[in-house]
Amino acid sequence: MSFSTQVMNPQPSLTMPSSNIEVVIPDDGRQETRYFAFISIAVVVVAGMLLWLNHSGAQTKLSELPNQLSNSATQISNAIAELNMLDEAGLLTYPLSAELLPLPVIPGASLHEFSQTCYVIEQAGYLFAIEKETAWQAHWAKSDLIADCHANLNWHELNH
Amino acid sequence: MKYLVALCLILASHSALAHLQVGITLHPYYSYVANIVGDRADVLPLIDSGFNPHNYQLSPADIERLNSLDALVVNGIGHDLFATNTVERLQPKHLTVIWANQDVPLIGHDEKVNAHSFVSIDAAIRQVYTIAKALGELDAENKTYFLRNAMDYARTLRALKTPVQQALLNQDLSNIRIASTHGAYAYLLQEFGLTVSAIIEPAHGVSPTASQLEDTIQTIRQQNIDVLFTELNMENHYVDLIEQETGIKIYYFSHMTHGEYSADQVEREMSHNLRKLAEALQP
Repeated sequence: MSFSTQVMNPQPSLTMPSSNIEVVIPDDGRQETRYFAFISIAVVVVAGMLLWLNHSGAQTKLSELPNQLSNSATQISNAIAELNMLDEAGLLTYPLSAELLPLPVIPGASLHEFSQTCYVIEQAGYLFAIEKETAWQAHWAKSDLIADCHANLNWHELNH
Repeated sequence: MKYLVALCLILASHSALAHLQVGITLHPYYSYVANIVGDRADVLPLIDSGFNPHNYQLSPADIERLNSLDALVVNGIGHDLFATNTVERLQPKHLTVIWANQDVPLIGHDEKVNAHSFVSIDAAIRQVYTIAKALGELDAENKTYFLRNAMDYARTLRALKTPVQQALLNQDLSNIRIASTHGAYAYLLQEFGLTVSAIIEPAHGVSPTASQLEDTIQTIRQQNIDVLFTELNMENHYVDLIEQETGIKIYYFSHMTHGEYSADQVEREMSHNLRKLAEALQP
């Protein structure tokens, strides 16, 4: 805060005849108090936003797949990794069939073979498509009907 | 002869130097990496055993160790923030960070990810494959060796499940109600079609307050919870009180982040967990 000073007319005094009374009045014409408050609030808001951005950026996203199906997705993901390793090592014998592949046996799920390179596992209204394009991969989608790997459904990565 | 010996020594030291230096942040990752790399890479814990990973801060010596690594295998979903935060801040030039959980379908509640994917068989295997693939990219010469070891290790881990699956084969588990002192066992229980109905601790290792404990006892009674899984190697005095008040059966699971780092820790402690699980679910 800054203040301006002004010397007022000297008043007669018995005790200190030569003294002046100085009245200091606040000069709030420049609105320092308000600016200070604005800046303080702005700093707090910006810091809060940065913290929020930092926190939300680092968060790992949960899968949209229901929790009770995540183990099925994990087992299928493991099978995909194994299929790719076996395929790379030339250990998959063609023509392929579901019995020859290391696909998981999931209680309450049914396996559908559409072709040598397209298998679908259905569980509780969700489809897991296992297919080979350049490499083996798998996706999931919500569907009440059994459909093949290329059906027009909203497919998701297994971990999304 | 002298020259031959010297040459052998030089070659041996060169071969040792050429080994990948792979850092790990938590005990299970030591087991995973040790089983993948065998004797063809060095596995180095970033911190000594005995520290609580939930509140650890890296020391200058840890950071020096971090800077000497070729790769660091991290849980990366919240159980080793002491490492991931530092790595993100420092971004060591020559370090490859291997995010073990990048391919794991994660579970959680209220948008909060459960970071205990290492207390599991299937999620552990998924992580082993991710790590093996990433290490194979760093050391192309040993890629096949790493991948083959990963598959062998996956087979070993899967075999641990078989006796429990057989024991539970003809049992109806749909009515079993389970509580857990904290959320560490959700991945493992899910592999057997089980879910946790109540979690007691407000945070890992944090005892509930008297009123929270009272609520928990009420929940256990109201929901007819049959079994409580709690943590081995951690003092949970309030668990005895819950047992007294509710008569619930209590079983101790390993969280697998205590003790010395060893290649067989996951196998050993997961066998214990599975034995306890089978015991708990016996009619």
